[in-house]
Amino acid sequence: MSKKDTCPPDRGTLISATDWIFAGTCIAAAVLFGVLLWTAPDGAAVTIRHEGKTIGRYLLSEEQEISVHGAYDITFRIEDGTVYVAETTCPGGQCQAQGRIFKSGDAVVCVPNEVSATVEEAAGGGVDAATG
Amino acid sequence: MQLPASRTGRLVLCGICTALALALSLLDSAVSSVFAFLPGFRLGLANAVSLFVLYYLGMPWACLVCVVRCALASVFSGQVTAFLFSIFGGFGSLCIMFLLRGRISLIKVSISGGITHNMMQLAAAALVTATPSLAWYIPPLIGSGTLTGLLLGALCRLIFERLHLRPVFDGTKTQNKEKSRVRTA
Repeated sequence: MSKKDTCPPDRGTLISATDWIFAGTCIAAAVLFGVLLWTAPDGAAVTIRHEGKTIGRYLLSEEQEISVHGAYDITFRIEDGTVYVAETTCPGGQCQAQGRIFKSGDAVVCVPNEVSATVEEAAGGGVDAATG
Repeated sequence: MQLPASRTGRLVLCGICTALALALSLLDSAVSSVFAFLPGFRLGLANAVSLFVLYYLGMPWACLVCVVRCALASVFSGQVTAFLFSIFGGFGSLCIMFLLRGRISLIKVSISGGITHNMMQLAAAALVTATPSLAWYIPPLIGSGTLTGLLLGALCRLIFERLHLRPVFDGTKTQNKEKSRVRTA
């Protein structure tokens, strides 16, 4: 057994001041990044992907429902300029708990089902405007 | 508590740590479901075991615990994607903690590992769902990784102190010099 293993423990505080500063800096960076993201403009369309393939791009201004059938069934509802998971058979149900999204760049992801919905600005690419 | 001198002793300790990590991982899954509104949020309780093994037994043993824990956790959860997520997060955080070990304090290493764990899982999610834009997930995941990393790092340090163990690489170079001065005195 090496000598350093038998040394008595430090008598100082468990979490040092520099540890608190380090943690505070990380939290501040996260908050700053969050604020920057929140200033993003509201999106105009949503792109839904399943297993790496784009299913369609839908306008947030048109109320509709889009159902995706995979390992689990999932239904997205577009309403009041927002999109959210209305129904899912996924046992975790985390995607449903994420609520409504409407900011450009925001996304709802259902990993077990490999489904995602990403809010985007309407400019460029065009919109499929398909209805569920 | 002494570091097991024989390879068999270390293997036994490694097995106990793996079982503990697996139990904590399953508990983590249950607790995380309460925080469903925070996508990808995990307490990362098993990371405390990884951190302990990394500091006490070394990187090869920590990798072994990580692989076995991830494999068994995915078998118990019944989800193949869970293995990909666990292995991405587990190995990513282990590599960062290994690189930072000895350069900064144990708690800072734990925080860095917690953040890396979450970021690697986010990368896995982007890969699985082919969704490049997941930036909105970053702030809450950095925040949760920092908080859990801080608490688990403190817990790990407390364990080392209560077991009268000193992590081999705890503290900065300056602190280590001070410790060696105290020992020689």
